[in-house]
Amino acid sequence: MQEKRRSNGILFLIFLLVLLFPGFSAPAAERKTLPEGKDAGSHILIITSQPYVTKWFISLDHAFSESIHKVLSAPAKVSYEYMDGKKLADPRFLATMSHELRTPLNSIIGFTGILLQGLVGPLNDEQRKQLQWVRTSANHLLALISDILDISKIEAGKLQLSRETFDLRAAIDKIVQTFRPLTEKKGLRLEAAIAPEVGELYIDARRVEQINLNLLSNAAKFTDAGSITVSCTTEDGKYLIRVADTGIGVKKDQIDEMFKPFRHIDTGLSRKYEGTGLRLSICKKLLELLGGEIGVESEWQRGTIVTVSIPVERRPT
Amino acid sequence: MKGRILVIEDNEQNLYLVKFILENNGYEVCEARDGREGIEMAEKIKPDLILLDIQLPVMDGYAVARTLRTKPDLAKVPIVAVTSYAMAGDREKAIAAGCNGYIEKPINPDIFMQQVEQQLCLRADGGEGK
Repeated sequence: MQEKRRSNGILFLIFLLVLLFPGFSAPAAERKTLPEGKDAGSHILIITSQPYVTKWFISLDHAFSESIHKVLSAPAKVSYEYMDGKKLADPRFLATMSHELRTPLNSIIGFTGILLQGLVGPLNDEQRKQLQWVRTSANHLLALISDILDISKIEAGKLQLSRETFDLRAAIDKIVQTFRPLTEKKGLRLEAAIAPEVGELYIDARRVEQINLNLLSNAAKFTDAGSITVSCTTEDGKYLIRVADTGIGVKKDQIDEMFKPFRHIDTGLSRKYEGTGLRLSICKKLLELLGGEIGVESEWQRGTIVTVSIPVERRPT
Repeated sequence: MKGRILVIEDNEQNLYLVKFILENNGYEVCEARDGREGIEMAEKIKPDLILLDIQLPVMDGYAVARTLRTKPDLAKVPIVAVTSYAMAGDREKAIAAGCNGYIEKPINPDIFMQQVEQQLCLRADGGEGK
């Protein structure tokens, strides 16, 4: 099991490279543990998006196998495959990787949780603080993985929407309350204005909540001073949800770019703000599926207003 | 002892984690590392509940659930899939194979016991408790 844990680590590291540098020739590895016997070791498949990187790995073959061997402390079979960018973005490939990444996260989140519950014994303040950081980061990583899984499902046309009666007013109230501790900590004003006629919808509740969550997370993340205002009104048979912030804003020519996955990284924003910039592209794609729209108005260094429209549908009687 | 739970899970750390939480909450835990061993163990110990990983060596979780459901003396034992398969339709697939519930990995230690006990209660409500 030691081997398995370590190979998970390597897999994780290499997969992170793919996540962080999707435009480059980052290698991805897929671990295939041989089914029979403990001595069979691991099979590591190195997949790269550029032929020359594959060649480079092959030229390193012996040294690389040796070092893998040492790390795993077991014999490892290493093979190489060239895959073009399209195939790397294959939803099935991403889904498999997301699944693989959840396994080590189960340990990280699980054991951190039971330590924090004090099930193992009392913690001192410093231990508690550090473990809470581990938990926050692990949950953040899990959210990123879920985003990647979502975007791959949507792009493959595999996302299935459900429908149920959903109270939009209550949902907005709830999400605003969820963000209050964070905005208070940053010294931001957080206000909500929901028109009296806003009520129920017959829609995929989880996806609407996800859109609201993404909009507020972005506003809270990119606003260091001032306020965030959430409003909801009705217009022409649609609900309009607006999230206005006084954050860093976006330059006019970059607004369209914001909806492209991973754009965040190319613009260097990830140096200051964690994340892949997947949230807005997920919102846009979800809204297309829900029959809605999303629009952004922004002024650089002044703030951003994101407006989402969702058609008002009620449960058929 | 509140009850006996069989955990079928091949990942050492995941098994340790689940066992730790269950034992700390007063349950007796039996373990199996692959699908076939899981079925044998279930027949032998007649657990009150089975926690079943889906990606297992020898025989996957779906096949284990289907097989367990063919055994009359185990037919009423709740089976809860605990899995990191998180694609649309995975939950339905687990239910169709005979599972009663589905817990997604990574498990949340703050609500895990609540999720497990909910299945145990459902069983007790059905009048099938020992």
